[in-house]
Amino acid sequence: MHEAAIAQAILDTALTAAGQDGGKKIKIIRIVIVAGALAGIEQPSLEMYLTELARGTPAEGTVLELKSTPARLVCRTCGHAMPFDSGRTVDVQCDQCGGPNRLEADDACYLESIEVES
Amino acid sequence: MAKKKIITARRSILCANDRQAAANTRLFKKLDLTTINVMASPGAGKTNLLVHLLKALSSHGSVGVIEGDVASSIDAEHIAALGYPVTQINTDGGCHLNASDIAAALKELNLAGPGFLFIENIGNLICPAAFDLGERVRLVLASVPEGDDKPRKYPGIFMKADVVVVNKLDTLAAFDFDRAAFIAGVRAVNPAAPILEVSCRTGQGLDALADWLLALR
Ligand SMILES: Nc1nc2c(ncn2[C@@H]2O[C@H](COP(=O)(O)OP(=O)(O)OP(=O)(O)O)[C@@H](O)[C@H]2O)c(=O)[nH]1
Ligand SMILES: [Mg+2]
Ligand SMILES: [Zn+2]
Ligand SMILES: [Zn+2]
Repeated sequence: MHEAAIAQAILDTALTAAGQDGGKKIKIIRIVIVAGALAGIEQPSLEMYLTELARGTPAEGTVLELKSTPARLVCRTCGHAMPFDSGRTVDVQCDQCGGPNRLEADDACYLESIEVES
Repeated sequence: MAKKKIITARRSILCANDRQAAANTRLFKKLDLTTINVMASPGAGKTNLLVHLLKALSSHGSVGVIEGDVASSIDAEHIAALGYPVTQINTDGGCHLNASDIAAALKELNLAGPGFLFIENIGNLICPAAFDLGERVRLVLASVPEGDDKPRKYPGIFMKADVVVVNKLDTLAAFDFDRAAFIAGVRAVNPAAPILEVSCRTGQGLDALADWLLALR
């Protein structure tokens, strides 16, 4: 359900972005999205909903490209940084010195670009 | 020959929701309502907490509730039976409230401040965090039986909390909930939010939470 809401938001945003381009008959063939590790976005389910929702719109058959922004756990004592993958559990302790980690990640999700064909 | 072209247009996916949330914020301000978005997993004690806070805060101004549920109006009926203004939103399977749900409910609720408006979000530790409702305070409620690892497993929602409340403190003896581990988990994702321990069963800690909310006004 959540993916459906996000897919609809992506589609609406892409259609708006395409509309700014004169209003000629165009087709959206690629949508590029950038998402933070905490945005909770998974490509397969999102793609499935987008395919369904885009049917009958200028984005029918579009490719969805998902880029994720890097996230990391940084130790507040020694500064050691570890990449953090979405879906993992946060390690509260630095594996180098045992100091407290802090998660640097976000849940931003934005449209970067679309490719259109006219 | 088809002409291809790339249009670069950086814009938030949730910009429509964010716009409505900003409009809600303006409306809350105009109505002089301090709005609290209560987010937690199912059964953490959101409704019980609201009942306590409504009672504690009603002598300081108006209070009201927007109840979000996938289906049913059990919680809203409970709050209405106690005599507080409440509007129910049923999301029909939807796993979060969004800003336009709140705009519609607010019209129906017809509540004016000065006072507090509580929003009980859908029981879910994942996506309610992503949808700004225009609220002043994001209150994330955890509870002892859920375990102390929730901030580490659901960092997104704890990261966005303005205040973290741990409920069901009366059940500590029955569970292996490690309070220090919970706090370390919250601190790994959220350096500043106050962490308050309460029990809706015994009343422990609820005055401190009400005072914290009153201090916002
Ligand atoms: N022991 C104990 N039980 C509690 C406490 N707070 C709530 N409960 C119980 O936990 C259960 C769920 O409480 P609710 O307030 O309905 O929780 P909720 O988060 O609103 O639940 P949903 O709206 O269904 O997601 C009820 O049986 C409450 O009586 C507490 O502090 N201690
Ligand atoms: Mg409830
Ligand atoms: Zn370290
Ligand atoms: Zn959702």
